[in-house]
Amino acid sequence: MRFKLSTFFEYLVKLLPYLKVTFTYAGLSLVFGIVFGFLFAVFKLGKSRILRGIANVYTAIFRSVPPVVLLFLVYYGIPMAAEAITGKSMGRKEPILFVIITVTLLATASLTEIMRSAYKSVDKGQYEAGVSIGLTEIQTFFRIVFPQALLYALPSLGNLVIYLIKEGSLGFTIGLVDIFGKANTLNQNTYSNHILEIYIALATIYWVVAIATEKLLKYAEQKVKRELGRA
Amino acid sequence: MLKLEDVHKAFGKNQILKGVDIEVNKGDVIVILGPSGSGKTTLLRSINFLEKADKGKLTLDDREMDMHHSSRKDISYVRKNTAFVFQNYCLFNNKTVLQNVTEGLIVARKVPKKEAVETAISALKKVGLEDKLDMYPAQLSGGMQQRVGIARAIAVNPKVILFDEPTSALDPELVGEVLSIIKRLAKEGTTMIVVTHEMSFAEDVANKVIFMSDGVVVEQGSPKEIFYKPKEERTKQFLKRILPVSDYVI
Repeated sequence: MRFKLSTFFEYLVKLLPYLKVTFTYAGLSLVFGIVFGFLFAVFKLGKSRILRGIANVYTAIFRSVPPVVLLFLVYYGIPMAAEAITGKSMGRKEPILFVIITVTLLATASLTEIMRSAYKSVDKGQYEAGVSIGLTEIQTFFRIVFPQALLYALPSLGNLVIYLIKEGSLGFTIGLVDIFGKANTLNQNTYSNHILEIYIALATIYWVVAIATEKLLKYAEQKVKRELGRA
Repeated sequence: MLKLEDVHKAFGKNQILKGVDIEVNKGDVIVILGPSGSGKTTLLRSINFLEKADKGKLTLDDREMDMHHSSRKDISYVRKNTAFVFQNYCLFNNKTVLQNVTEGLIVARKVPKKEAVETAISALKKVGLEDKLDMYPAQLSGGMQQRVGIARAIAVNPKVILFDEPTSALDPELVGEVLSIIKRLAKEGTTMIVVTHEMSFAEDVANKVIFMSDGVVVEQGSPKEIFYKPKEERTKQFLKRILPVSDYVI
């Protein structure tokens, strides 16, 4: 068996359209994760002991469960729970839905920690200076603390995006056809005759996406830094 | 003009302020002295509601408020009429020198931008930094940062400026430039309360020195009275430790 470059490109072209699926779950999970992560970060930093407890338990659980275990729990557990509650079967027709839920749960846990520590890394004195000069708490947060916290958060945010894109590939285990799922199908259909070409094409796509994400985030970081006069 | 009565504050079981009364008149330059842990900084911070006192009454002009159950309006009123200068400057790192000073004018007091910039520049002239308008805090020395902190405070034309150990975080050779600005402000009639360990500053410009220890005001009076004729034993002991004395042999 020899590696053929033309076959490699053939599969590269075949796989590329499915990147849309990958971007869909990664993008949606990131957006939902930012919303819920913000909420949990507020809980963690807040005064209420109960809310802090809830957020702590959440991050402790979801940071320690392996992603594939979580995916199975979501995939089998949610329809069962839904059926027990509503008495109707919801089925499991849309695997992407379960992947989005799973990746959102994971992203939320990471984003909670990213946002909490980014907030913490802006020293409290600047917040105090803001309110002491007569700004409201909300003005101080959005004008002073948030822009600086964002700068601290950007590198970890980049890592997270790459992680989400990769973790979502587990979706193939529940029948999701994203680039990884498609690659598996192609491989089976050709009886593993083009296994190298297919998986190298797949790896190349992941590699390019990761590099592009990294570059994009670097660019954003530089831009924010310039705004802050630190470049 | 500003009056504090019976201020109490504890952090957990640690009682920091045990009933402090202070009165400030217009034009007063008050220096608060005392060993660390005596509650000076906590007192200053609770005036600006950076700490919430457990008990106490604050009167600013004719407005009287309970320091523990203060409304948002009361807090905002006090903060808009006072200004705080922090030990470690606490400049907004994402804002330029000019923006640091205009922020409180434009955002908090709704001053039109043009007017705010003029006010800010004249405040920065007073601290000798009118040529650094577009620099960021990270590009400035500690002394310069603290001078921006002072400009930020005077720009809003507060009734009282609260200085919390404004020179303690500075390298020794930078202390002078900051102190001389505060001295000049004091001589121009700015009302201020200064927590400091700079004895010569206290002696030069204060019209009242308050000595605090263990959460209470032990003694207060003119610098002469406190430094040369202290009545209380605790004041004497403190001064003996902090001032160079003849029976101290190296």
